[in-house]
Amino acid sequence: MRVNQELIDRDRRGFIQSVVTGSVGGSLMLMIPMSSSLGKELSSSSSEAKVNPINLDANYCFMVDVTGCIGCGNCCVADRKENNVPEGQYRTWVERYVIDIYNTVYVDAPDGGEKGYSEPRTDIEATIKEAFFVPKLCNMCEDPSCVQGCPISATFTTPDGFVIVDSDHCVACGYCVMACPYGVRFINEETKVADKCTWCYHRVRKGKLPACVQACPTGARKFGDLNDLESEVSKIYRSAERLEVLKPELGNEPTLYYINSREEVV
Amino acid sequence: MQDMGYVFPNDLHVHWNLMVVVYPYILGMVAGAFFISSLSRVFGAISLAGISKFALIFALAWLPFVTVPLINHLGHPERFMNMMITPNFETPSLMAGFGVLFTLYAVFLILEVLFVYRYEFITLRNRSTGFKKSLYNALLLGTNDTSAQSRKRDIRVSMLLSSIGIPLAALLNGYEGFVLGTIDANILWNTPLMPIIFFFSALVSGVAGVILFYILAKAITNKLDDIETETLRTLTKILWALFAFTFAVQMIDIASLAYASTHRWDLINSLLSGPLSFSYWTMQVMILSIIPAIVLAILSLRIVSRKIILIALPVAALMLLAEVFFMRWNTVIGGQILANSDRGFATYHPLMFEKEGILVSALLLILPIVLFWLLSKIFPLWDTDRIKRHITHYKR
Amino acid sequence: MHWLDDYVKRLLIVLVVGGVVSVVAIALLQPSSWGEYGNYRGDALKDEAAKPLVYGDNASCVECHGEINELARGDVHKNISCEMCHTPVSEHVRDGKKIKDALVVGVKEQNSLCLKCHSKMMGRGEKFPMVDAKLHLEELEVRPTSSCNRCHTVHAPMENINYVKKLRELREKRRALKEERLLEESELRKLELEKAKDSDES
Repeated sequence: MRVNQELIDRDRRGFIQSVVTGSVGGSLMLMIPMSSSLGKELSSSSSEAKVNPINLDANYCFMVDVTGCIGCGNCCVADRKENNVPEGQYRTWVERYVIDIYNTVYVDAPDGGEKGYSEPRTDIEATIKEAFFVPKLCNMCEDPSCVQGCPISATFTTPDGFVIVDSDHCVACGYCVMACPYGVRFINEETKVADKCTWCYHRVRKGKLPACVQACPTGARKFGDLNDLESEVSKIYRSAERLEVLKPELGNEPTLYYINSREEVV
Repeated sequence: MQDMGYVFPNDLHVHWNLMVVVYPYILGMVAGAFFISSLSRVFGAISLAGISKFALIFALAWLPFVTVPLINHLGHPERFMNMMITPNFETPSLMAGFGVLFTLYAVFLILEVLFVYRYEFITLRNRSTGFKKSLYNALLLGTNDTSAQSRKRDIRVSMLLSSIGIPLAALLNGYEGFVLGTIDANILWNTPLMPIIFFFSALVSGVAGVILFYILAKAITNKLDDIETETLRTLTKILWALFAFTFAVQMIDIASLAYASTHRWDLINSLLSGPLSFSYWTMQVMILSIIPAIVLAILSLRIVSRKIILIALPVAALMLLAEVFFMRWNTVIGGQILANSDRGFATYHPLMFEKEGILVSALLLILPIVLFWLLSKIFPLWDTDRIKRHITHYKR
Repeated sequence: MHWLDDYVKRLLIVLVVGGVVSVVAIALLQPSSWGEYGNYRGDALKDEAAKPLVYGDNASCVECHGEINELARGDVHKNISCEMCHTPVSEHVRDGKKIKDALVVGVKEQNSLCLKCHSKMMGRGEKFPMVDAKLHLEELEVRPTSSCNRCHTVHAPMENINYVKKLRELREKRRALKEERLLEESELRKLELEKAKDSDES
């Protein structure tokens, strides 16, 4: 992720200004011990929480622990509500991989895994050797082919490294949908523009975790700042844990890492 | 690993639909017709002088329809000007460059028409009245120069425009292939041969279109005897050579993939022998390529009589028109059917009456012909003698 | 230049005027915040960042419902998102006022919510606690209509279980102690009896 000194300066200026004018109250409250009544006020207006300035010092990354995922589908439910995604389209989904004793791989994701996997697959005759679940979402590439190909810069990488869509500018030509090798982009049926997972950029900028990470009961989805040495992702990144990205041969340089992934996963 | 039919949930249906099949087809018609029209001007191919104006106006008739399928395909057609207002040259986007290239090409084509017809407009203006008269006057920008010097200038400028126009047309059509060929996510599209295949198949469709409608127009007006045998023979050879080359490149692409038999071929083969087996092997390759190739090869020999050429050539041209359409379909749709999950196929069944459906596509392929007929009322298509005289004059 | 006659001049004027008009029009139509951060609409970034939250986080719930958090502390469900079962906070509170009761999960929904994660399934990992609900109830000889909550209080599912376990443990201990004492007593009595016998004989 590129750091632009000019941007940092401008952003700091903007931040100080907004503290003075009182529009960044939330950030100050983190520093000042608050009374309980004040706290109540803060939480009650949590849906209108203040937007933090762009954090250029952060190097955000997402990690998915394949062995941690239990296929409950909570992440997909949370994502749909948080981002108002139309039925039948998916910013994130959970795939089920089943491998039989002849090493045949069966993959499915009914309803994108949103309703959970409470029933086993019944259409497989051979004995099943193993099974696992793989959550999918935007790979937030450092060299994204969707951004490269957008004819009007309606999708772009933010200074803090998120690939998002300008839904008021997009013409929905569909190039990005074609260019994304991970199938995470789609043309939203309601807004008629390109749509994709943003790692809940609006939440991150308000100091919250992405909705799917928040919803995950097992901690299989992890989000954080690699430059923050205390963060879980940073600790994993620096540990001996084997991290993998999807389709590395395409050179998109994803910042979504998989832990304990398998070669069957594409 | 066996194919168990899994497709990413957002990719169940193809997104670049019939419109994206029709669009390069129309673009190809413009390029091929322009190419035929330029041959006599740039390379002095006298046998093609008689068809030069016909082909030029044929190209002009298809020109306004190039962007129509693209705009119709947009989720927000009303925002299409964003392509011009904020083109992304920073990363840079190939599609953004298309807007500039196409505008440039359109300007060149229109200028070409103006210079080729300028002298004729003067006589036509004098002969006509009312709306037509003011139209010709507007096209002449109010000038009235019949001097020999100005006519010589017309020929020189139109030659210059043609010689820039041909590479520009190549660039534009090759570019279209480049846009598809550089999408590395799509294993069917991602080949460096894609620009070459797209450009030459564009020429094939355009030349075939000109041949078919040229003979049809002559037949309808009962002037078949006016067609020079030499023109027919040259057109046959050009079409045959272009098609043989295009077909060879396509087959080389497939053959080298098949022989190398990497995982990529396994996937492509599963597509070609699966959902595309009819439209690719049966239609595109067996019926619509091999048969016209043989017919054209025989026609190119000097043993065939004019009568047989007049019947067989338009049939072969029609088949090649269909071949190019199938090729566009198999490439654009086929590439998307082969899903990114590497484990299954997406589906696409165009409807008759949807916004981007079969009826609209058919209209997009018929309306240029209607426009061509309208344009022929303004731009005379037949005056073999004058062009011939110009060329011989210039050659001297 | 002999070719630069009236016609070409006028054509050039048309082209230049057309070109200039297009360039000016394009420049005028460019969105005002273009290029603020990079080659894109700066307002798009601001709009995206300003999108309202639907879900808060557990901290938003704790402000008013701290006791539940207190209850769950130290138990296995301490990190579960409240909003996944009770619906998002934005549907419950707005502008500092309660707009709607949060969802209180009924018995039927409760079981299916529990089983969404805990039903026995291949691929959930060996360490993860899973049950075959029917079998589980049969084994424990509990009514088959019982809700999970009856034994596993949902906010602290192991509390009762741990309580019962502890109770059992203590009872076992006590029983063992008692038996030991009884054994000791009986042995003591035996010894006494033997002593008495010995003294009798002597």
